[in-house]
Amino acid sequence: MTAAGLRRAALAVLTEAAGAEHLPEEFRRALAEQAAQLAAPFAVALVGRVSSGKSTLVNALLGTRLAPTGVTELTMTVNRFRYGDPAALAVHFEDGTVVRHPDLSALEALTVRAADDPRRQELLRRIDHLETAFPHPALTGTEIVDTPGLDSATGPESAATLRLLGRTASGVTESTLTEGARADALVLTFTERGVHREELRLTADFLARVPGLGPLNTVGALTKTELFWDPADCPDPFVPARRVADQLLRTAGASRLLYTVVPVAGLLASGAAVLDAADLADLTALAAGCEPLRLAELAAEADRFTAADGALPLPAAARARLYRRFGGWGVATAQRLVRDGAAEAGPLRAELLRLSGLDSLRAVLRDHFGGRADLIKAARAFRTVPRLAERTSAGLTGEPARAVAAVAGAFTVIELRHAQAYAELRALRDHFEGRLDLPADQVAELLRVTGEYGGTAAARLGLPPDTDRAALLATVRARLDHWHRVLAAPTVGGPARQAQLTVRDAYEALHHDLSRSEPSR
Amino acid sequence: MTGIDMGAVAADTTAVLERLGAAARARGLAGTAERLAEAVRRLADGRIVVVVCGDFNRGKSSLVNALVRRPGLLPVDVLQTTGVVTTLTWGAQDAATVHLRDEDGGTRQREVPFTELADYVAESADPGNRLRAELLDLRLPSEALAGGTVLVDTPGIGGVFPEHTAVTTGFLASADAVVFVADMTSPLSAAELRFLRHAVTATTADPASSGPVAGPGGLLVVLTRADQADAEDRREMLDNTRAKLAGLIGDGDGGPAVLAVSTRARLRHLAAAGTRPDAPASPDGAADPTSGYPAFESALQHMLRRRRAGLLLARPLAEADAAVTALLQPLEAEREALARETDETLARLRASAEAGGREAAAARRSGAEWRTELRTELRKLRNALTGSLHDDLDAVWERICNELLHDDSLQDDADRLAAEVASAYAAVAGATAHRAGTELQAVVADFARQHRIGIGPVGAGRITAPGAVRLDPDLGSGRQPGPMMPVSRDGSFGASMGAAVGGMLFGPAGAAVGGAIGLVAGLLRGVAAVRNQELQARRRNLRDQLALVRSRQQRVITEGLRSLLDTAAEQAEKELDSLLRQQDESAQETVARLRTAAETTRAEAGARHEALNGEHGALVAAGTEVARLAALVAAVVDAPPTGEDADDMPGPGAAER
Repeated sequence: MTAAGLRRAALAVLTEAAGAEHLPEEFRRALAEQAAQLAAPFAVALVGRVSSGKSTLVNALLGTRLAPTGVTELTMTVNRFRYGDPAALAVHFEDGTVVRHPDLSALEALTVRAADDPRRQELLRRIDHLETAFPHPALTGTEIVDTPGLDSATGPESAATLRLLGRTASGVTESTLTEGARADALVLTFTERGVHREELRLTADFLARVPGLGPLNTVGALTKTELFWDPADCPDPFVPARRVADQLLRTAGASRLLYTVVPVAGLLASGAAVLDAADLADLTALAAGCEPLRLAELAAEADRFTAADGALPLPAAARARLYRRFGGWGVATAQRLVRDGAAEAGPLRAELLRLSGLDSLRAVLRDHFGGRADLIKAARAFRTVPRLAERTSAGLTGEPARAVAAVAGAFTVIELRHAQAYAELRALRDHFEGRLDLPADQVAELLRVTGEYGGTAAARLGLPPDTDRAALLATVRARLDHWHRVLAAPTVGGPARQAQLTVRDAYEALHHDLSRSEPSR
Repeated sequence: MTGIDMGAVAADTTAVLERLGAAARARGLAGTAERLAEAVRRLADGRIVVVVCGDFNRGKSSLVNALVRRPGLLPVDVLQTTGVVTTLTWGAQDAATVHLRDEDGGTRQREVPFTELADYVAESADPGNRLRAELLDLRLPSEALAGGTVLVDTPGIGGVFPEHTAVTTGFLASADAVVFVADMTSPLSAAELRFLRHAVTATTADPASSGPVAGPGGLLVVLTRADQADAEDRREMLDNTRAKLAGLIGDGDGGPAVLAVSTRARLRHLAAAGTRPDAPASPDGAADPTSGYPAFESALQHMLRRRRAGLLLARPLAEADAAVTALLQPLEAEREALARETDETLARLRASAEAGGREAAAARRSGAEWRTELRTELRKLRNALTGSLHDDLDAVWERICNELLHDDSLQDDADRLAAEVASAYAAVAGATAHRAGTELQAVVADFARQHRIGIGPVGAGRITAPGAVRLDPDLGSGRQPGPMMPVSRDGSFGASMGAAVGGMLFGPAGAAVGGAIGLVAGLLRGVAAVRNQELQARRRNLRDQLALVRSRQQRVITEGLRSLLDTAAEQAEKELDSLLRQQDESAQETVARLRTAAETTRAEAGARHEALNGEHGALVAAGTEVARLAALVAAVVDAPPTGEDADDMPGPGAAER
């Protein structure tokens, strides 16, 4: 693929430059950092206000209970989850030292606030971030980064909060910002209450630190959707959640920043992701022993559902465990599915994950981010390196100046060679940032052909995966004819026309690739 | 907690005022009778303003609905809803008045059925409040509104509508008590803590005085959605909230009471009990152990009892005490005269009474001297207040220049910059009104004492009245017919001053805070235009634009203070005049009785003495009753703030503790 080629080429230039002579040391280090980022797996960071459900969402995405969760401020350390088997933990301290643990038993103690333990507070203060290796398929090729809340440390008011948490203001904010800034894509979390002014400001602060964020690599997740649930007045919490998500996209420039906002019932998602046979047994007993409407009514209030003297089946402790794990709406929904015939943990888990909205979020992460990982990665290097070179070369003469210019020159060469990938990147940005005034069908085609639904030729043409090459070629030719006609009678100008040209060129390139591979078959 | 029934104290106070009023009328003391009738009216009309505020979408409106036991009354929506201030006062029948602003800046009122409230209140039904509803004034028969309690639902702070925060900040000046609403599903944020600290300090001009929200005693923090957390989470969240509030508000002595409630459980209980709007409070309250509302309501009542005692009852009791003295003086003089040993005694009594009467009468008739002096005093006060107002305004400007304009995050956030500026000016307007109220009372009381105006030292230490001077409750009516006036119709000058400034929010003059909010829109446009300039140039440009805001704010707030003091000066004169009239009447009656006594023969004296003793005894009994009531009121005022006993109250999860 062109974008992958772009990324590889950029990495090659950077790797070579790292060994080049005469480069200023600072520039060399910056290039090395860029190279490391290009080579690293695609990193998605969850960023948002305190208690906006980031850790819960991480657990749901990873199907674990690894990230500690709770009602109050909890996560105090940035944690990068990456693929690794067996599981292991590396603690990166601010002074650069790294301490490795052979398992994850120390994770909670190193993540969660230290209330009354001065020694642990001292330890937490020195941690820069954690790296957790974990064998989960969701982590192949992708890293998930959990962060403390953006506002866990703003102004003198949070001094008390931070004392509770055993961190300093600058420590928490800096690590969130720097680790978030290192990420390739972001999930911004918002609670069901909608957007807060403070949130907009913090997000703006954050974005100022991370150039290049926009709809192409940023989505929103509306967490805690289940809080809308009311058995009588609001049986489907996703109805109001979608309204809030829409409002969120409409407010204060959010649509210029976010690709979409996906409502998620985070607690149910995280519970469902680890649903086991014991949970199923409890849910089955519950469903068998109580009339569904009555159960839903009781599940709407924690006290009534977990009451020791209630008329519900199961010991109170078992009900309390279910409640903590799935929440009221989750319990009511799960027992309904069980009543409707779900008899195995696997299918029940899958259905609950679908209902919780996690599948939708996953699909967005996979299609919108995953399909463009190379493009997003490469775009950052292309934005950063030439600027770095320009800044560095000011005042330089002789060999060092030539060496820096050589690096910049190498990037220009790649850019020219991969003009199509570049044009696609620009067209997508223009689209997501609202600069393209094109009919819906043309926009859909732009997204598809640039890899929104997968990078294979079939996916880019909207054909079934097993379509043979002749059929692929026939479709490409038909599309090319169509786009030549569109372009022959210009109706739009500016970025829109550029995007149309880019779509046509994408088909041309596809046609070229498909024809070229013909003889080799 | 004190087990004093304030309803009964109020009823007894009314009874004793009426009894004294009848006695005054019977003896032809019209001035005293008038004062007593006025005190009865004030007591009946007394208002205690409870402002319910908090972050947006924390469930304020649902909470108010549950408090008045009318589910669905105020519209509740998932999108940020409350865009206007809503006041709820007691009324025998449901009635709602919406105050709208005309195109030309005037206000007009419209009666609307309860079912159409959403059209005016909800932000979603009317984005940006195009209908320009400014206040919704609801009357309904609810136990929670008895005794003059006014609930005020305010627009949420922190949301995407910057004007909401400014309206709420400005409004806090008129609060006698504040209920701050947060919830169980996310911990108190730095922004909420900032607002709380700002609000409490802004509305308490002098921490030593009984400000509208004097420290933790006037503040309740409520965490809603207790039903979404189990006992363990609830405890953790309560501890977390208390830890954050401790030391932030007040002087570290525990902070305000923090209570957890479940509005959902409350509404369920109310539905199950089939509560009618006029049902009594107690029976189903006892049957609702889980919602936390009984504990919340009782903490609120406790807080309001103290406020009510201090603000509403103390003055009528002081009035009753003065009336007892005014009525007793002539009787006692006559009794002494009847028991005269010599003619000299009689002559001495008569001379002293005549002198007193002449003094009062002369003072009333000529008046020029004390009036001039009073005006001088008030001018001094005005200068002092204007001086400190200017200091405050300078401090705000300094903060704008040195902090806000250098806060890089604000440079890119025009909305928030405008909201910060508007809130800062709103806070100054509120604090100034409060300060004016407190200090004006002190000056006039001092003046009355120095010139021996009024019947004796009021209550002789038994009653600490908020001020010896009574001012026309309809403060500023005619000048500022703001829709807030219904709220401010109480006997407490401080509260009515605050409310009047709250009223200015909406008043046709667009005064004070209203001006600040009005400027937000204009400011936004300007800020957007300069977004792309260089930082230095941008800061300069912003400063220039804000300088316009500053000059308009200064003018508007200074003008507000001026018109407030003008009205107050007139009323102070009227009040002192009325006190002199009472004094004069009492002296004249004494003279008349002494004259009668001089003509009374020894034989007649016995019978006359009997009659006098009866009358005297009744008045002494009334005086004893006044003292008893005053002692009760003092006990309530001095009772510990709710914060100290909040932990002992049952609440959600009380059973688990």
